[in-house]
Amino acid sequence: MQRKYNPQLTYWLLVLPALLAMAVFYFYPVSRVLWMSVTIPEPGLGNFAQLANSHSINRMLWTTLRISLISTALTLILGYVVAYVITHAEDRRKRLLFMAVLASLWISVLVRAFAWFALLRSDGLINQMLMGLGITDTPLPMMWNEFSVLVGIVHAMLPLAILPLYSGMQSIDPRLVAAARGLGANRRGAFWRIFFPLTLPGVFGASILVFIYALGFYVTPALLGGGRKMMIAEYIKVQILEVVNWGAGSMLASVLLIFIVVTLAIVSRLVDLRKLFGAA
Amino acid sequence: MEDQSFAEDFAEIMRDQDASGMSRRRILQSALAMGVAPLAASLGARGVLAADKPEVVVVNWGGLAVEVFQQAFADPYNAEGGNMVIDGSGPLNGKILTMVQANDVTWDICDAGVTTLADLGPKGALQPINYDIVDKSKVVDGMTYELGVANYFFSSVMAWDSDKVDGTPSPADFFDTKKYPGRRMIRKDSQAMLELALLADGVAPEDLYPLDVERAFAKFDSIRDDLLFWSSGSQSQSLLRDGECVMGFLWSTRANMLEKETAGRIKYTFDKGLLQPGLWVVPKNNPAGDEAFRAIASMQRPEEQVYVLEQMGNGPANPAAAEMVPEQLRSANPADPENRKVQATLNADWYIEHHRETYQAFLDRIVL
Amino acid sequence: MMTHTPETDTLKIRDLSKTYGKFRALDTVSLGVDQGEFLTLLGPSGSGKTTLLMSIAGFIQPDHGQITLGGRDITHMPPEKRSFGMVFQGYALFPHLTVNDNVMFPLKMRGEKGAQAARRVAEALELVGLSDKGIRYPRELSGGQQQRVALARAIVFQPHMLLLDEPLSALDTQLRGQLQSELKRLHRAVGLTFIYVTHDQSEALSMSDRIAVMREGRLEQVGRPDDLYDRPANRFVAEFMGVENFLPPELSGGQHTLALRAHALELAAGRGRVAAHVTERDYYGAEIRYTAHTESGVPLRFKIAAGQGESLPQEGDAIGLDWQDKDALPLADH
Repeated sequence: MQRKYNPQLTYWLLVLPALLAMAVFYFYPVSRVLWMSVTIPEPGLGNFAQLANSHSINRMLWTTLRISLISTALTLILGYVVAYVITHAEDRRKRLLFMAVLASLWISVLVRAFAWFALLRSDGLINQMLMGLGITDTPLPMMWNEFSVLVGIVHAMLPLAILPLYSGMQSIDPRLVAAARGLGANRRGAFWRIFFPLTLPGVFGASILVFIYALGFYVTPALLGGGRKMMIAEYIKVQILEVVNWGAGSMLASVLLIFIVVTLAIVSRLVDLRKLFGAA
Repeated sequence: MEDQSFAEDFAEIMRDQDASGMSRRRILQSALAMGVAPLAASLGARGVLAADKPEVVVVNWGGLAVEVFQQAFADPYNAEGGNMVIDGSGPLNGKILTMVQANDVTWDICDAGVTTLADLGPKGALQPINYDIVDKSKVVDGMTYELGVANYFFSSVMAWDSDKVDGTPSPADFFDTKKYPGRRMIRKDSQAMLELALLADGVAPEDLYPLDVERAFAKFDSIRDDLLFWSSGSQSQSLLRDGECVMGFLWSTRANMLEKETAGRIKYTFDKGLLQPGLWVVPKNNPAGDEAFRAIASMQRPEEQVYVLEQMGNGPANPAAAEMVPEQLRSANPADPENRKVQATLNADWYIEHHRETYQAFLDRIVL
Repeated sequence: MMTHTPETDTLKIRDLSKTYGKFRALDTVSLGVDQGEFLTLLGPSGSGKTTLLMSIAGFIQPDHGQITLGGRDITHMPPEKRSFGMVFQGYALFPHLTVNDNVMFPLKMRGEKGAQAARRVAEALELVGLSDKGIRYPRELSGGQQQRVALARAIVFQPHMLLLDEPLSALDTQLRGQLQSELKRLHRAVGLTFIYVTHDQSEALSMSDRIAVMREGRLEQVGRPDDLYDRPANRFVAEFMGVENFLPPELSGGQHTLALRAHALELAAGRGRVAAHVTERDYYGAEIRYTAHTESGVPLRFKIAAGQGESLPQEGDAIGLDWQDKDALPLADH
């Protein structure tokens, strides 16, 4: 009997190694973490009760959520402006701007945090300049607080927002804005009624990406927050490796995982927005 | 960035002196290593062929410490027919526990601290020290524990910026922000910080334990708005050097380096500091078995410990080493008799009992 | 034929120039457009016709020159203030708005709303035959339907004039022919000035009141379609109008190059006015099309009606060609 070529089989054969790798290196450890969260130190939901009871966990979760939301909003606004400028720049300048955006991706988070430290601290460049110009007498408290943490996180995340926003803007036919102008809309009207709605899928995608990324920040808040702005990633690490409280650590890891999965599930339902807005 | 243990910080200091600017990469490396280190360690550490005696893997915090431990401890031991390997992959408490629970222990001796006894002891992850082989008389009194034995000393001390603080502040002034306004820094860990607060508040060294945790918290609460927290030795150094803090509680090695590099602008004192032991611990079901304890005994030789002090600044744990310490190193030796007089000494038993909930409470009450 | 009486809405373009680097997109272009006229800007790509249209629309700022509308200078007026309807190449419909909202857009921008605006939208859609598509999105429509929506949107607010940038270029031939006649009908129905850009001369000839032929940023000739067809001012325009044969002075015996259409050349009984030999012969049923070359290599194209019974020349034959002087057009040397 002649064996027929089976595209289905080929498909699975091709996908199998990746699936196996995912199962071994991803799903298995993740399921272990989930399992640990309800079995250590004893079986039950005791670890999850800490969500309600523990002062530091409450504060840390609130700090994480607040910083993530604010930094996502700021990143999106700044990223939108940058992406807009790049989209409308001429080719040579576009390349330069792209290089600038990508270059910051090559610099480690750590180095960037130290750079902000050099700029923001009391004796830093910005305070020296402000005082030199007589704008302020005493150094502004820009370091070791939520401000510096937000600056660091927003800076680190900007390329992540700019790239999807740019690709969304790039795909918008420039004649649409011209058409709106020709039909009587001024610059603002053409932007808000035509350009902006068409970028919403990109804005939406970038927001989710950036928000989820922000939830996992660890180095930047630890370095720029003076130790006070502990976010969930650092807290988990302290619980797992230092306090060796694996129950609490795996519980928080599970909470983070579940939160992200639920967020993505909700988003994937809304992804039909793309069709609604007719982009791409 | 990794919250450092003291031993890890030592390793880093040595590298900084070797090639400045390396420290940041090192921190990043160890952060990266968190995910992959157990795998890498299990692949890498067991490669050497066994001689007559079983291989003994000593794990420390990497960098120059690997070389120094090799010269100080491994070379003499191996010359006598042993087979000691120094592995710099960093024995974090969580990593040791992972190995023991996975029943895949590849380490024999770990460079640890009292929090390791506190965190891993109750979980049964550590092997009791065999004092038939390890000589208690070669360790400063009281620094031998069921699950760990001292191999060096370090201190937590107060340092200050003499440009911003007039005169010589007393440790009590650390908590007087009216007298000396400005930010203070402490370690993002309850260990030693609570002791320094209580000592500053007038508690006598001999009355220190059991720690009055609430009283210490209240002290920190009183200057809460002026507190910064460091999590690595290099960070503590930069906070004082760059003038971001006027005073700080930090490790004596970093304070000593600051004093040198700022030509005395940053000063420190062992007065009302806390002397802490660095401990050897042996993970449960270690591959080399009792040979690990023979290796620890070999490392008790005073000349070997003095060599480590010369190279890295760790105070020797063997009392016999005290006379062998060169004159110029004595003032910076945390375990020097003169310095010991003005310091309190950490009580490991209290830590074994209380460290975990105290650290958690410290996070709950002070940091967050 | 439209009567050319200057009115208040006459558009006047004076000495308009625009350069991009070294490239002269517009070179001192002057042109007047009368109220209600259907004017076509014709030229190959890169000839400046779109640049001229975009300058009129206000999307491109000219370097020099002036544009006036009814005597008012609008050279630097922003596009939204000019109130010109515009149909873009590719239609430029707003993909996130329904057909109704697309057509409503210019009204909304002018502050018109409510029942009256809705009625105007409905009227405009009816005019283009899309009354039943109001709640659709553009992507749900065919190319021709999208084109009609773009038209409805461009005229719904009763603009001063309608500017169309190659509006039919994306459509297939059959649909294009249909929409050409619809556009003409629409032009008559609304009585608006149309300025229409195309590179297709047959489209230009069939639709326009006047045609402005452009080349390298300059106007080559402006005139009625029959003017241009019968009396092209130069060889470029003549070629654009489909003239096949150009006889240089040394062959024509005159002082100018002669433009001759293929049907004006006929096979001479004897040597004729020009000698050539046949290089190509293509049979088309009703006629046979020939290409011949003179000694000096000038190509000549002519046709012979089939079925004349004579012995027809074959490839390689030496022939003579004649023409009537009335069919020959002397061109300014260019």
